[in-house]
Amino acid sequence: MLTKSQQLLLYLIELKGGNVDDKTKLAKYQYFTDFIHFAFNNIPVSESTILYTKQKQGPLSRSFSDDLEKLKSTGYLEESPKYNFKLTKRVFPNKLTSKEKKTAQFVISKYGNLNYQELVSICHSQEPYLSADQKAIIEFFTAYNLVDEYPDYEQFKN
Amino acid sequence: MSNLKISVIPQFWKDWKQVHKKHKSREYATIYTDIEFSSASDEARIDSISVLNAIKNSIVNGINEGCLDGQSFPYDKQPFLSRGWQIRKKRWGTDTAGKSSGLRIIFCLNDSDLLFVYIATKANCANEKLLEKEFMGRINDYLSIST
Repeated sequence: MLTKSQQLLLYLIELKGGNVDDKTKLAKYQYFTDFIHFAFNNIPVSESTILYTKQKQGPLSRSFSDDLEKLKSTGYLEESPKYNFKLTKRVFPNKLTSKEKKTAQFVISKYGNLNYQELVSICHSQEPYLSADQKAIIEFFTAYNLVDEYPDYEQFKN
Repeated sequence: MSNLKISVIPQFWKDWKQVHKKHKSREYATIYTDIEFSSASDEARIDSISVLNAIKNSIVNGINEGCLDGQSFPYDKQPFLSRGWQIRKKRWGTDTAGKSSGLRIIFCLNDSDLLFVYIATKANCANEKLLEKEFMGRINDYLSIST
């Protein structure tokens, strides 16, 4: 049984054509999806107990590395070469709602083609990242400040 | 994080009581008891309330990251610049409506201080002239006493 955060990671990789070439980029896609979804829906796409901490490269889910290990060990993901993640199965458990999928699609359409440095730079200028001390938990309530940054979210069609 | 000294104009805590009446979730509550809160320093009080701590961090980190102007902006009138203080206004989202209907915060900065002046929900900031008179008076009184 995969958790919501693990299902989200698989879905984000699928949206990127089945392959993400950088671990940090994948971590940022997950952060954007969870925080933007919370901003508009009062709940993240991942399980509501998920915690993000402020790291030098931006917000990072505490379970991110464990989630990737689980997805590799259960055969859904392959890491080759290092930090390059490829889907190994065409079909995977996906209980995300259409609203949750919409947010993930919104994030990939907006940020999917940005490089690592551009993604880090965007995170660093947003309230959730700014509002936390280094290595401290980034509170989800700070996500409400993102609503104004994404006026195109509600109109986005998946 | 830069070493700004955090101060609060006393009336700010009265403002905060009004905000807390409207917003009752845990991030608006202090972790202190009433007795602990009344004897704590302004900085400790701010740190004890998640939302205020987040706002404070946002301002301080915004300075360090060079993006303060993206998250707050200088007020139109700046009568205290000659004394080294800049007045700034910040908006803070409290629900899915975003910043537009959230909190309004007035604070001042100089080279070494961050001074919280005023905080209210958007609904309580309808009369801008009255609001401006109130917070300008607060700053003037504070600076008259402290300098």
